[in-house]
Amino acid sequence: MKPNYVKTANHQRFMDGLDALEERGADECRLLVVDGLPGLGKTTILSRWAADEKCIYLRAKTEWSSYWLLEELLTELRVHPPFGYAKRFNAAMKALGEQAHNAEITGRQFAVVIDEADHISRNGKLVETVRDLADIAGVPFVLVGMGRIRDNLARFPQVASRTSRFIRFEPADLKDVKFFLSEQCEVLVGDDLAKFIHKATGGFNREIREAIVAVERFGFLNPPSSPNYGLSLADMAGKHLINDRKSGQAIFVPGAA
Amino acid sequence: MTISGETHMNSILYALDGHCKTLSDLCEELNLSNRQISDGAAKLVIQGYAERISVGCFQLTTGGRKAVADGCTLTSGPNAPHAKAKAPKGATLRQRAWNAMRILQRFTLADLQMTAAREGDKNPENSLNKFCGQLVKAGYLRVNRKRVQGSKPTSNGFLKYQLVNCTGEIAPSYRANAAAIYDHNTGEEVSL
Repeated sequence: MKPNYVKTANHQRFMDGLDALEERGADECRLLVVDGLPGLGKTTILSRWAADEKCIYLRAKTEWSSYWLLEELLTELRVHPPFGYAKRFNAAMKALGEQAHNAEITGRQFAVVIDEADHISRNGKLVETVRDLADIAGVPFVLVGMGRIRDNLARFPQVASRTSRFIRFEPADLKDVKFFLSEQCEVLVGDDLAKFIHKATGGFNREIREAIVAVERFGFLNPPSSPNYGLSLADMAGKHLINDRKSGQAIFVPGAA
Repeated sequence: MTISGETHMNSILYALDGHCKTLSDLCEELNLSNRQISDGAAKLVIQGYAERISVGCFQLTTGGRKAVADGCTLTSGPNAPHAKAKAPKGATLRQRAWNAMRILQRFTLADLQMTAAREGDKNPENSLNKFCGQLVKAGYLRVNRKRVQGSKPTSNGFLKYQLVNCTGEIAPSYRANAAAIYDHNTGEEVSL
């Protein structure tokens, strides 16, 4: 598999959301919520963006408390976490302010990304801590979750109203799947097989990558019968492609229609 | 044209040899303006070669007399060794890769390339492979025992790395001369 980053429609959705954050009307709308089912490339896109912009990247934990959140935030900010909630909060404010100032000077976008934010969205105290940090330090927070984050945040209107935009990651369409195959698969794939991959994977990036590995394993040993068209359904008929994510059953490639 | 004090430091140093002189004496002798003499003499005082006896009157210190005896040519700096190594500036490939390592924690070279490489990077695979190798030797990364299977029939699989020593946000630099990794976050040098 070629290690190429594929700019799918979800990538574009995320970049549009960042633009909306920059051009927000109300100054206190500093929250961006990214959600979608697992395996749609949220972490890949977010980690690439965070690595590029040197953003703070935290992964929420099941048992996270406000105190633990501040400890991880300060550690990432290279500040020794002091004891006491108030001291930690003030230290985080100061460090975030400095980082935001440095980012402004160098023209970078600065934000704190919290992955697996579903753990946060269920806990009122944590939600309020994030809101306080975003409001007082003036630093945008990007909350990344798996579908329920939007509903959970609706319980906290004071937070939901501060969300500049909700970005929902959607499964890839056929165009995106073909783009994926052309960018990452080292074996040329025909249109009929691409359509089946789209159907079998449901447009989930994780499954598409698994399908690419299966196609490559077969294609390296069995070159396509029509080199210009690429590997077709008939070529791969009866071969295992992926396992269904719901049932766990193996999905085999059918013969040509 | 404005001439900085450093330009005249040497002529003032040699003109002061053995005598205490006033600004006007030096102006006349060296054919320089009051400002030029004042700036040059101030630099000599800062560097410890001359001392101010009274307002506008200078004489050489022991160090100044020794410098004259040795025939030294003074320069504007450096006055002391650099206390800290200069951290690389900007989002270089290695810095982006380090950021990605801190986020991903466990990764293959392909994951790293997908997250950190950009269009303009020259041969990112090779560069990242070298960087990971250096970090493994220095103890920042650990190689997992089990390889990730490759799709090519003859593939040996791909190494999976794990970040085990995250010291901060600045990427460690490789020093070829010392064959060592320098950590800008801790100020420590780790020999490879």
